[in-house]
Amino acid sequence: MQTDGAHGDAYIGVDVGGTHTDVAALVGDRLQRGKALTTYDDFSRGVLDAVGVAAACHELSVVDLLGRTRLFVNGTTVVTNAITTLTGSRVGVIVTAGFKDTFRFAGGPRVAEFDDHLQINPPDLFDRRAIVEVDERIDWAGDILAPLNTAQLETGLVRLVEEEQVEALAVCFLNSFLNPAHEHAAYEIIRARYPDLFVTLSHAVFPVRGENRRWTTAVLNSFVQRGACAYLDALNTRLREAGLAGGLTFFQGLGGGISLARAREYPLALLGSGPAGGAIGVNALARRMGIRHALIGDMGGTSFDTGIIVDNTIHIEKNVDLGLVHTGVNIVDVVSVGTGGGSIAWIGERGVPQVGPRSASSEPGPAAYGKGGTEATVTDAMVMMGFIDPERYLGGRFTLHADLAEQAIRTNFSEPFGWSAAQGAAAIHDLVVVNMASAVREVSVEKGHDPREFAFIAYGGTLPLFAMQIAERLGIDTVVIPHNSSIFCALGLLASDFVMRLDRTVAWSLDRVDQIEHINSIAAAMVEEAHGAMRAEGFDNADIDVVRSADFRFLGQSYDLTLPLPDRDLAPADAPRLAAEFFAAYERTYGAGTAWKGVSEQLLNLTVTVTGRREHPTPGTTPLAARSPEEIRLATRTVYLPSLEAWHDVPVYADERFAPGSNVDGPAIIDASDTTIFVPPATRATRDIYMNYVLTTIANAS
Amino acid sequence: MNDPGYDIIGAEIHRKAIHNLTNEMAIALRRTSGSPVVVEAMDFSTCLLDTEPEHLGFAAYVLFHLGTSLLGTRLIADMVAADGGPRPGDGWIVNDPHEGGAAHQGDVAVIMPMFHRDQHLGWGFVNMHVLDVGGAGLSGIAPGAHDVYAEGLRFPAVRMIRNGAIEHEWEKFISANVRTPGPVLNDIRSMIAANNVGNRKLSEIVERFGVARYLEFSAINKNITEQVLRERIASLPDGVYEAAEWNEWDGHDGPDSLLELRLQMTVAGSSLNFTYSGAPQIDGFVNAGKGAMWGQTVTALLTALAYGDLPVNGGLWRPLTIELGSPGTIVNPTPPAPVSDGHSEVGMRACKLTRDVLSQALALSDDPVLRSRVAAKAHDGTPVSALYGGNQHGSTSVVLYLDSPTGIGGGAQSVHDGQDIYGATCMTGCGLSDLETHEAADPVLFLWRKMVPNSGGPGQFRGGQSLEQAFALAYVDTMGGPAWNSCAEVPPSGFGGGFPGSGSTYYLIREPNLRELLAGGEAPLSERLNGRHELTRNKVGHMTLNRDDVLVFVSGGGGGLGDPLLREPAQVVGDLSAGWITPGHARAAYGVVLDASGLLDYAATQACRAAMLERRIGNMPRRPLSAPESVGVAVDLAADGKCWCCGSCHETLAAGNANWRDEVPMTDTPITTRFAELEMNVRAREEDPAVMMREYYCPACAAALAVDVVVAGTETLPAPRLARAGVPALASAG
Repeated sequence: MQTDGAHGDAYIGVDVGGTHTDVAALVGDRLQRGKALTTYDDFSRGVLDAVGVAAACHELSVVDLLGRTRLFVNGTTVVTNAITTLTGSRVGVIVTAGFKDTFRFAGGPRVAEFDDHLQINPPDLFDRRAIVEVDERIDWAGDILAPLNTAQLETGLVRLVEEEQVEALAVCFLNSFLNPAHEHAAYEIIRARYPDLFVTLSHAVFPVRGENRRWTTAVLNSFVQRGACAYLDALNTRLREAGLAGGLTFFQGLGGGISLARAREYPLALLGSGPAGGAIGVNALARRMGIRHALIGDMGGTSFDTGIIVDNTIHIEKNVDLGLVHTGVNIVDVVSVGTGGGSIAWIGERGVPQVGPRSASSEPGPAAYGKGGTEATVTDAMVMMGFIDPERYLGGRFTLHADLAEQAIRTNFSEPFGWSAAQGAAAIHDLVVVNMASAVREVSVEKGHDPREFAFIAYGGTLPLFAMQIAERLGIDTVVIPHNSSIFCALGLLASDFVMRLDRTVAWSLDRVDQIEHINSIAAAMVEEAHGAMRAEGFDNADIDVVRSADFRFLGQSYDLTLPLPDRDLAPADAPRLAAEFFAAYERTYGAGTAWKGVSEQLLNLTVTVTGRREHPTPGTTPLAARSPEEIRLATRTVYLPSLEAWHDVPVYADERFAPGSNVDGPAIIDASDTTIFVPPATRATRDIYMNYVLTTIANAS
Repeated sequence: MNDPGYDIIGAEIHRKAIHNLTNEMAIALRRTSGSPVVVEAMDFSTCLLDTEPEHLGFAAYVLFHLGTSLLGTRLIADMVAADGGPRPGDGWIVNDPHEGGAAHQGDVAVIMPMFHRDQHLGWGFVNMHVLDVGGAGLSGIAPGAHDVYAEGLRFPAVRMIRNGAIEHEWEKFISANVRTPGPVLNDIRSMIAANNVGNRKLSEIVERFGVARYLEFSAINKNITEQVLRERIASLPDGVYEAAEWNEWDGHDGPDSLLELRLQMTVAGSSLNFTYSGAPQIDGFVNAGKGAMWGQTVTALLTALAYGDLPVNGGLWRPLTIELGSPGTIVNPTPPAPVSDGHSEVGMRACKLTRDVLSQALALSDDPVLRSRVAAKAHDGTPVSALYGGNQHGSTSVVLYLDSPTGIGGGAQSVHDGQDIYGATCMTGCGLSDLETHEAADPVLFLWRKMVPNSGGPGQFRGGQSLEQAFALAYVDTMGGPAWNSCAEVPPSGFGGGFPGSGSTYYLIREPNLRELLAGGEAPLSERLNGRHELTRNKVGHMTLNRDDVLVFVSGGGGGLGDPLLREPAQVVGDLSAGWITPGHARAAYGVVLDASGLLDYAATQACRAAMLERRIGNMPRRPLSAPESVGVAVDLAADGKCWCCGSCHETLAAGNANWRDEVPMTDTPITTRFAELEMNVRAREEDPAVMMREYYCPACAAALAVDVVVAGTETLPAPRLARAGVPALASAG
């Protein structure tokens, strides 16, 4: 392995998470981790703390490290937090007269639950007094029925700013996705009077039919603006002061970077950026390993996140809902369930055992932490059964109390059922595995994929204890535990490109071949806009990739299927071809005979995704030097194996001796510094040249 | 609690798998159906039943299908049992409220047996509201029909699916009888697809567990649900609880009648009996068949009692009995009674009756969790039109917007205000369509969409608020069809001293100045729009809209919970500044007064509230008004059962075996008069009898004890008759 770190260029990925700020710092081909607590009063402090840790590991000063950094990529929860905690800018809203209550209707707040106590009203993102209704109307065809009343707009604008003291505006007019003239005119008026006021136009952030999502997206973009821009500017300033020489990129939930300038304009793009980093990292890893289809798993203290990669393409969830807030934001599709190391085991009213979603979090934490927690958690169960070595938890940073774990399980969980503590712990283990397997099922089976064709790539501090059991439930025979599992999201950021996505509603019935030129002109304008933005970011045409796709439906349907389009103008012959492709895709998805008959196919929305490719640092490899299990073996531990319902002597292997090419058969435990891996019976664990562990069922092991 | 003697973890894993199965059926249906009725309003259901048949899983959308699926599947199971059993790939279509247990003809079910290999393991049930089933109405609802034969196609349980596909002859038959054959047949295909997905999933699950364990766990999970529900019921005091409602019917050119129906709920140990009675059946579409009655009863039960750790399955039915009285009434109709809106006319009234008697019983439970489940009635009405005609695209449109039925308010809860835009109680998950979607598809221009001020019933917790929307027929010369509305004159009452929510209505504005306003750059808002206002009857067999005519739908709100004078003035001021209520309403309902600068005038508010309390009972109250220990428990029974007392000040009101309503101060006012003071909507009746608001107050502290909405001349509504209070017939039975 090359170790001339002192002379190489550096690349830094930073993931600002809810608890920890993680850094992956690559100098030359040498990677070091940095971890610090996230600092909510000024996020940049935590970032620099974590960078400092990584710099020290590289035996560099922060100034030296940043001075040789070519690219600094940052993922952040700041936007997600602003929305979940409802702390944002004071937003003023300018809306078509007659429709100001649309925001409260929120597309209907009733959720599909029986219990009436769960039926609540949507959160207010702005003060109701900060809405101005303006006379104007554009109809379904994009024609102006009533002109914009500019005098009224101006009066309302002054009231919003001077009396309501709004910090940002959203302009929301009906049918503006078809004809943005009135939103543009409003923008000019606002600009003329208040040049520094932040303004979001609904058609600019989501030019798609459906006023609820489009308007909500505009309001949210203005809502998160203050906090996001304060964060972006502080980080930029502090990093530059600290000597950052290279580029600074912010990571979007869509799974790619954007520049500081664009992030300031469209801060909502940073929503969901943390989990997206992990998905990008998994995809890069999968490509290196020659894996085309992968399911993603990340388990933390309170939740388990999972997503899917098909043909090395990450699934993007369109129009994300944040509880009752319906947006037009597209982000990497991640399903999150309340299952983590801190999830609490409890007994429901039916007398049936349950685990999560309530969590002991970090305070008081699992009973084994000895910080006053008395409820049994997942971590307690794994300590109790011997999977986690109390002396080596989190690299030995603090010692766990196995006796407290056992007591919590016994008192609060096992005894009511007449079980031993170990049996109770095994039940917790089984339920957690089922909960996580259900979530993985949701992103795969429920979207029409067979998990047996996938590898399960599992990271995060706790998941490697459960990964193979989850895989077994879904019929998956290969699990990959990546190297540097605990900072995998930060590492993933280094594999990212610049990405922009434009969506536009065109509502083209494919039998109207006469409209093809109109559709082509819209598509051409979108491609040019995207290209222009990428060139402005400094990309050459040669490094810009354009992918076109479209949403299709039968005229009258409300759901659509997305299919690829060629990267060129459409010709008349394309119309029947696309119609046939859609018909076939529909029957593939929903079953033969289900496609609608006698109804024309419609191309509803055009999408242009443009990628600015940049060089990615590649991690170094370690040559194969297989060692025998005896050479790697560290100790033997007595572990309660839930699948065998018995205590068993299990060999423990040392991560640092586990050279590439070595393999061991389960049951086995591999103790790494930042995670513990469990290899169940009838499973083989192998290490590859990237230092990843690959777990396969023995029948398939070669 | 002890080791239950079976694999409890396995049973729980089985339960989650079944839950996923019904959800995947729902996902398949939503994705394949194009109907906004399914995708936005979520007017559909999917469930799995075993061979009993009892439910194993039910996706929470239209709750009354818990009743219709049981009745429809039982019917088919009995039929095939006599005919050699079911065959894979067979399927039945059911939509007949008289013979098939359906809720209304527009709700079409596809019921298919589910197999693993060759073994019959149960039934899939998928139901959705299709766009049309022919007949005098549209979308299967026919206010103009005088008998069931005019209402459209009836399928009592017809096997028209073979080998997983609908038979071609039946396709031709349906095509010939409905107005929108394409979408209707596509919807049936979608329902078959959803059943297929369900069967595939079921096979996977059985494969994993093995048949024996699968069956064992099915039985266990039903038993556990039964047990939890029984425990909850056992915490309700034994006795008889009674409530009354009135169904509105002004169709067929009148008379404008109010049809009484009542419910007696008997709690005996861990069982609940619901016994309905009602006026004789009529020749209008309001009569509710068994599916609607069972379904709407269990709907109210689910929203009140299926909270927390209580999965819904067949165990839920076991503690319940539902009796509909002698045939020939609006609650137990026989052919040829029309029934096409029974689910949302008499059916929704049944839902409100059930909510009422449950709240009465919950309020008297010793268990604080159950007491917290008291709630006001939701609005539960359906203001809607179904217009048919050409559109701007040269094709045809059915303007059946479920926006206004979705735009009704929920009942106030003990933990928060009622939900706005809650939809009917039976329609969980319902959404409000974007008007941009409507305008792109249909020849309409929306003029406004706003929250109706003062629509939520006043209370310590306010009822949910409702939607007003208006659209003009802007792009074609004419469209026509029926229109109906079920809750205009008898709005939903509150509970525990909470006030009723507002009523729903709709009206037309003929030949409006729409074009002049637009040309002049003015949005055509209600305050600017002039034209000939036309208030039609509530149930209209056919109305015609001409170019530019405007149709305005005003939905109604949910009832309030607890005395409105207990609502914090700051909350009332918040509602005022948000524009949810008017200053006049704040003063009349809540006694809250603002000063000139729009801030709370504390002194004036105190004085106003004191004057209101004095006016309630005709003299100065002896005790200050205070909040009851449990929200909405305005009247309580003393621990020894000997007397009723005020939930706020504990003043003794009456003997425990007497009707406390007979013993306390009461005002009896026409609801139109009261609602005019409160600046709330209720549709005025032009014929007798009047609808009255009866307000009962504590003689000592003047707290509102109950606000009943009744038809003039109705006897005082009864108090619960409890075994604990020594009501003779019950004391021995309990």
